[in-house]
Amino acid sequence: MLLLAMGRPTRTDDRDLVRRIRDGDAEALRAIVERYQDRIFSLIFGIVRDRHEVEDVAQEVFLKVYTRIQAFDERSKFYTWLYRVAANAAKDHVKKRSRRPAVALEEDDVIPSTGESPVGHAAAAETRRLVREAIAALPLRYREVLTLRELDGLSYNEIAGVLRISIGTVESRLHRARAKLKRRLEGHVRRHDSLETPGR
Amino acid sequence: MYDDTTLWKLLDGELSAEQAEAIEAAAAADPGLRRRLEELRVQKTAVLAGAPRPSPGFAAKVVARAAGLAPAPVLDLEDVRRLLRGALIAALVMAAVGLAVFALEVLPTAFEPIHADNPLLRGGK
Repeated sequence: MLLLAMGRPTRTDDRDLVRRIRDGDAEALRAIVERYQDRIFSLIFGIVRDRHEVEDVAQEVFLKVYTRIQAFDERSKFYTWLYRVAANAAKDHVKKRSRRPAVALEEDDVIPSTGESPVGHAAAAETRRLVREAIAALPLRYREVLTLRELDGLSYNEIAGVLRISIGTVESRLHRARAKLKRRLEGHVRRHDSLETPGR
Repeated sequence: MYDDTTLWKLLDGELSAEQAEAIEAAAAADPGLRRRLEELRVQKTAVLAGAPRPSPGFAAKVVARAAGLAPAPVLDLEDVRRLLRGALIAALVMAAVGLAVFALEVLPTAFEPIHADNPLLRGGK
């Protein structure tokens, strides 16, 4: 917890825990889970977009970390490998699940309040709802770069490392994702306006 | 003046300090630019907004499930090299045996005339 408050865990801390997990130390696994669980939940949610499925996928991710720790190359950063495992697990989950639509978030109380007036709050909540729906409708490859970008403030270079793609590809996917998002939101706003002014 | 890509790079922290300061200064004087930046910030925060938090017993659950699993052995490069060398030797031995059989069984009769007693092949009617 203290480490979380101090920002991203250092490489040396992770290395020590990784070595202990390799030796079968369950307490080291617990430490890794506690250190990264918030970020892994956010990363999975960003891709899966269904709150109810996040915990199951997160469990699979940490169990994969435990059973496949030998595959981690200690020359690279642990969190890069962990995020790759999590992103792949989340994408696999989305591909496997039936084609039911992603569940849109309804609980607006989990969104931090910005101190707006009730009317302003309602408008902002509506905007956030539209943005969340638009994100859920994006193709997976765009959702994953958007999520990684906002997760922990990963740089384009770090995202490229996690996804094993070039920085140019990261930039172009981010650009396309955001352009698609903008188009979708503009469409929502136009529909919203026409519903509010039926006489026109 | 500034396109969306540049504004996104500003919010992503991918611009130099000078470039970032120039845009912040421009936004301070331009309400339209300020509004665009605010809209992009809303989009940014919405990506991860609403993510659930792990339940208090989540780590314990993972550790309990892990207790029933064994870390999977992973072949290192030397293991893979040894495996490939063994497979290559086995393939060479099989090929050698195949050639030997071919030489002993097939070659001695390979050039004998087929149906030597066939009158057609002898030119007769």
